[in-house]
Amino acid sequence: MNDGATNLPRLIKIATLLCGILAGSLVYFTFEPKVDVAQRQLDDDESMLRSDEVMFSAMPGLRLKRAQLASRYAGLLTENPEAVFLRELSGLARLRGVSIVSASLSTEFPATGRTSRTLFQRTAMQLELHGEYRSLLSAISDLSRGTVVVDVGLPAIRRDGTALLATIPLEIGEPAQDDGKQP
Amino acid sequence: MIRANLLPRPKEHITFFGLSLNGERLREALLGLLVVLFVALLGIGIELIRLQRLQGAASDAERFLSAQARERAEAKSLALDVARYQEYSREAQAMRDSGARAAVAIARIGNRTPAHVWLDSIAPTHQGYGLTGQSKSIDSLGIAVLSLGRALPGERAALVSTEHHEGDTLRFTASITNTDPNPTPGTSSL
Repeated sequence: MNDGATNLPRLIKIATLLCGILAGSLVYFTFEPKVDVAQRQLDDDESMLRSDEVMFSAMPGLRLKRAQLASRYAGLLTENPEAVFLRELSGLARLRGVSIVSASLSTEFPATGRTSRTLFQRTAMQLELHGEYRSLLSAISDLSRGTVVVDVGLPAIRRDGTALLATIPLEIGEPAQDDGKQP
Repeated sequence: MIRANLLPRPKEHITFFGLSLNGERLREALLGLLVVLFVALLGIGIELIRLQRLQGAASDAERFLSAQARERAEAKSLALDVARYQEYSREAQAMRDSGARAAVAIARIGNRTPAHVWLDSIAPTHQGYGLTGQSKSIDSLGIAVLSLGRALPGERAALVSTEHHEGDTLRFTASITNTDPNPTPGTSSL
């Protein structure tokens, strides 16, 4: 008979507990997105600060590396590379004991077939050298080791009397001036 | 002398808009409501403090980042410069090695040619090399073709034609083909 009245205080306590949990959850879920955004922002900033720290610590090394590479790059910049190449070729031919039969700008472009994507502006050339087998191989090997950057293609060789005649396609390269990306 | 009224008190009732409510239960309910409010306010306080601390730390970090913006831009430009110079350097180095590669390609063919066989011409083709030459005998020619074809994986030598030249000497035409399914023109590994 009296159960309803006896249980009422207990019901009020349970209701208070449930309402407390509900209120706490409501507060938590209302603030959580804002807290989450702020936490993510802080994490991003902190990771950026850490990466900055690493980057700044590498800067002295990078400066040194840039100086080294810049001086190497400066070595690639030759005024009139074709003329420089021909001058060096003459010395090379003497050194290796071969004779230059002809050197002409090639009409077939690209001469070496390797110019699909390049940082260098290339001038195609065809070279004919005459000499002994060993001398010719040494000369071909040395063609790309001069001051000027040269890309040597696969040569054609044929017997010519007692010696050999090598027809060598090559490309003289100089850093492209119009790509707008030079360092 | 202490006097106490130990008789059960009559239940206190509060009438609210004509509704009679038990006073003790009402107090309990109000206390419960206060507890709920306290919990809610405590939660709000804690969350506000958390939020404020996080936002403060984030704004400090951002100030720091802004102060380093110039240095960061300088580092970025430095890294880009180095990367660009490195690209030039790599490509120049590849070009500088090209002469040696070409000489090695010819030398490999020369070294693979056995005795009693000599080559008159070696000409690069789209997929390898075309060869012409002479051989003292058909045996030597067979050995030469086998030798040229076995020297490198991915390369195959084939006899294209042969004919008698002078005496027992044979004139022949052969080819060395790169069997790589994606060959780059003019870049045979020979």
